[in-house]
Amino acid sequence: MADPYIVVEQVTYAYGREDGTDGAPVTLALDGVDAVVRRGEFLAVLGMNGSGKSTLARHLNALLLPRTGRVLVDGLDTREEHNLWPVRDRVGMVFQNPDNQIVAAVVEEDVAFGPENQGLPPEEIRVRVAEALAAVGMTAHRLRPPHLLSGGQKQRVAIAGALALRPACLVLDEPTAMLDPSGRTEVLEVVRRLNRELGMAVVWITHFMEEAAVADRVIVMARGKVQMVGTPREVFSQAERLRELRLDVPPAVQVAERLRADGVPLPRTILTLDELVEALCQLSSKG
Amino acid sequence: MTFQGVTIGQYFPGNSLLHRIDPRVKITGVLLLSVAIFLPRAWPGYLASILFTLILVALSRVPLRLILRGLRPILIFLVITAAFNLFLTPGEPLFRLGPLTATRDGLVMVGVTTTRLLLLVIIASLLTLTTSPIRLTDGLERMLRPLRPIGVPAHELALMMTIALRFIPTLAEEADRIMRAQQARGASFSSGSLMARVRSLVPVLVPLFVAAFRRADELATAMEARGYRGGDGRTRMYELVFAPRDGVALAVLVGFVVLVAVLRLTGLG
Amino acid sequence: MPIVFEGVSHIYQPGTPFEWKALEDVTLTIPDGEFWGLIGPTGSGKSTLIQHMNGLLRPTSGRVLVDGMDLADRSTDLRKVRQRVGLVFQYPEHQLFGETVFEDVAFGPRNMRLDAAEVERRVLSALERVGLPADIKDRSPFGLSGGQARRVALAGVLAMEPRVLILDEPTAGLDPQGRAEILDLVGTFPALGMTVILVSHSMDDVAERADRVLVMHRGRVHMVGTPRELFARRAELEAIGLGVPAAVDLADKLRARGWDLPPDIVTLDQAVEAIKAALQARGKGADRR
Repeated sequence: MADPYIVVEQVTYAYGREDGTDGAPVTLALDGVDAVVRRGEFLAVLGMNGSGKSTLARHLNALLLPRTGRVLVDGLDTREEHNLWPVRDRVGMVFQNPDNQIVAAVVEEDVAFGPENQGLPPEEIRVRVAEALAAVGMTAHRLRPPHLLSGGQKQRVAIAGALALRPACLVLDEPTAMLDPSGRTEVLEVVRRLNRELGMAVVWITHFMEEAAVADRVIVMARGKVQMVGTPREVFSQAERLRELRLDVPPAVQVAERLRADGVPLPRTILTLDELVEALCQLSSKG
Repeated sequence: MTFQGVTIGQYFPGNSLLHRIDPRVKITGVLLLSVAIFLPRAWPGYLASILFTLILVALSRVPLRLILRGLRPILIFLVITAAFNLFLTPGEPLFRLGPLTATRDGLVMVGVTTTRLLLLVIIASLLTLTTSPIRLTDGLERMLRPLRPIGVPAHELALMMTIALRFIPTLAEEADRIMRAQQARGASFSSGSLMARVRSLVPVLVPLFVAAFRRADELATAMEARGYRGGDGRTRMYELVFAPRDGVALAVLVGFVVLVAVLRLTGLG
Repeated sequence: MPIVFEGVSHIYQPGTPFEWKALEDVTLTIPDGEFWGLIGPTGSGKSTLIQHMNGLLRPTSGRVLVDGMDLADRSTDLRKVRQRVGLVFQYPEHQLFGETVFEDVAFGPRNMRLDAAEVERRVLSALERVGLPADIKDRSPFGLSGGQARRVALAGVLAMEPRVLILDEPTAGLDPQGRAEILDLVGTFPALGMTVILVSHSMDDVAERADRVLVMHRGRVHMVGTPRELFARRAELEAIGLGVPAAVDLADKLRARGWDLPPDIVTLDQAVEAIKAALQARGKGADRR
């Protein structure tokens, strides 16, 4: 197993006034969260709205700082002011709204925004921009204005913008929530390829179970706490637990569970429809 | 779909000499020529200005109709100013129109002011027609940079302009969507008194503003996530670099102003 | 109150280099009281089609008739049409503008020139129908959660008491729980006497609820039929990038392995029952408890 790159230790966080003097009780958006992001892994964070998953995401690049506990990125404590920019060099972030991340009126200028902030020499910036655009497959669109792009294309530009900083880890906060199905596939494919080919760690925040199913590991959050951790198979085969947490259960798991309740001896590890079909065929061919 | 054809500003893409000249030189040129246009006092000076402008137009390779289109907004203004000059300038009478007397001097004034206004507008149009909004912003920022120690926020102004340009088509599309949604609820934007029409825009403007603030907030967060920390130490992917032709262009512009000034001072123009 | 399209085509920005034919020769009839699903890939013309139904767009050629009225006719009162045919756009919460929820929901009824008492009755009734508590009417719409704001926007259209309700991807951007809640809510509308047209990317959303499904592709009517009829033509759906519900996929996979399952499986419940029956028929599996 790879080393941890980001370590989240007993983090709590609350929005609003710290001491609750405005009369409102302090609700904890994060309530004692422990988590690890390993080098090169594809980690999915699954949860419904209000579960704390986006709040957790923003702690990974110091957009938010823990109320208690700490977050270490490549050994750097995010609470220390002098670590702010080094942390953001290491952890890139892509947000949910494709439009509200693009700053410039031309694609390649927007991808250059990050390196420009770092004060890199123009020649180096141009190299990185070209690389980043090629990595997401948007080189042909480099001179186009963003308003003429589809949602999926805009998100790819946003990813390129983060890649141009050469981060070791890319955090994507519900990147497909506002996209149509083809856009969602587009973005997920690109990110999976980047994870495989560049060895870049990916933290994929989502409420779509189908997306979490392709990750190496899944963290399930609800009510500000980590509720389940494990491989997709480990997590999604626990139908009762998922239902308790008001989460979607994969169709194959639902069907297998209902059949088992009726006495059909199906293995508990079934995750996909193909596996279910296989198991059913084996059953009916025995004896 | 409606806004796919919108072009931002007046920019007409091209590769002419004028297009390739550094935007700082072009901005300086507009300022210099604006002064030069007001110097002549006799016809040789005016002729020189008109010829110089026409040469610039030819060099830009921008279709004439686009240049003429830029004159449309000031047409009314031109006519009014011409009328004032014609009838209110004292001098040798030419003809009468009711209680008003047109004078010879008035006619000359009409010629002078009309020429000056037309040339001004054409030169300003050439700037925006041959310089993309991004390059224009870059040029302005570079020129304002030396003023930063005295408090001019050059970088911030440039960034504001860039973001505004980026979002104009997006906001226009959003306004269109909101209008349709309100029309689906029975709203009408094209009937009733002026007051009624203004009030009918509230259901469009309020959501647009609310959305704009949310956008700004999200955009700021995204910028921070990409390491934005203000203008200090920032570089640009394409830095503006002076080329020999820019030096030549600047020399020509200055030379022209000097010429017109000399003509005026020597009484020849 | 049927909606009829006769040979409707629509071209955006005709005569310019940006010309785009969004609808081509669309002919269809949506009868009163049915629940229709409108499915198609992005760019297939769904959004353009629904905007023809309440006169927001006019056909470049062809006719649209709502309740017998030709929408292109000058004498047709489009405001009246828009009261009868309600249209809820995507992310409808982005159109909220009132100082209070009440003011916003009242916008539609007020545009209908109803008196204050009637407006109030409709607003309160609409808020109740979307499952919001009555005291929400005095709150600012901008302080609400995403799900609540969307319901307020929905109430704003319901308050006009339309006979036809068109919803463009009402579940866009919502998490699975939110999606289920909105779809359940939409499912209650036919009982209120409304014809419902649900635009979606997802076959899952419409499979269980729709009487008929209209599939659009490249501006044309690609297929029309009941969900079951369409799923029997699965290859055609997949060819244009549309999926089928999981239950359909499961049943097809089992049939490919020689299982004899009934043809009408659309929901997971049906799949489970069919599998149990098939296992019993094969004499395997189910130990009765």
